[in-house]
Amino acid sequence: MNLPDSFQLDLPADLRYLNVVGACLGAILERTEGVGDLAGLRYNVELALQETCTNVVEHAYAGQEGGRIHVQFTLSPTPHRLTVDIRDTGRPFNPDLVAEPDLDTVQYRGYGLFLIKELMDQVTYEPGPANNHWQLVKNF
Amino acid sequence: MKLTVREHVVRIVVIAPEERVDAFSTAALRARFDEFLAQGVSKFVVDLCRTPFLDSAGMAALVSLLKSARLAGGDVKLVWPKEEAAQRTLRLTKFDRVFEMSDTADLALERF
Repeated sequence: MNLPDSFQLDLPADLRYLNVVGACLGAILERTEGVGDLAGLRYNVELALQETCTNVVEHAYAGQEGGRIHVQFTLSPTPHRLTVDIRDTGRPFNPDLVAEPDLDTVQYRGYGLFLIKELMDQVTYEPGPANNHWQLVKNF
Repeated sequence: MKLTVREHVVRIVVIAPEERVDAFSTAALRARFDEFLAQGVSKFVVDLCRTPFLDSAGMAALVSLLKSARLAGGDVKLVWPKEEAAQRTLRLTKFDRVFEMSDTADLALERF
């Protein structure tokens, strides 16, 4: 593999189908060279993507029907890196307003963004008019 | 012989999700928890050994069950998932400090 390989998914913003993102990720990583702990990498990235897409469905598209989520996976050979770009056209939000969970107190919510940041090497979010953009990067 | 006999039965329910527990499937899991709670069950073992995936929505369902169980005088104990990355997630969120963790369902049952 010399050039970055990229794969795109366009799926309904529906919790029912977010498993498709993980399945696609798994298939890509299975055929990727240089992955040490395949199961661990897959689980961690899939969880981060699941949390991100769930936030898009539940917040960006809250109260809306027919929303779509666009996911692009890009594999770079040197250094070994997976970049996932997630775009939606829903309501933007401000991640700085999301409080870190208090891990010493059991709580119902608030772990999603925390997990995304802990499991990925870089996380950026850019709101935009009709184009919100998450970028999650994992080196392996 | 005149005897007075009283049976004291402790009901502990062991629930082992065998499919991914995520924001979509969590509703079904919560519904099962609620059924047992409505029957008066307050002691649970949730065996994650064969659960292939657990996201924060699934974790929220476990917290909800824990709070309900404790209100009823019971508790919820967890069995570690098999996948190391899944175990790490529980450690990262300190769930392993909130819930008593065991390696098997039998060990979890013994701890009640």
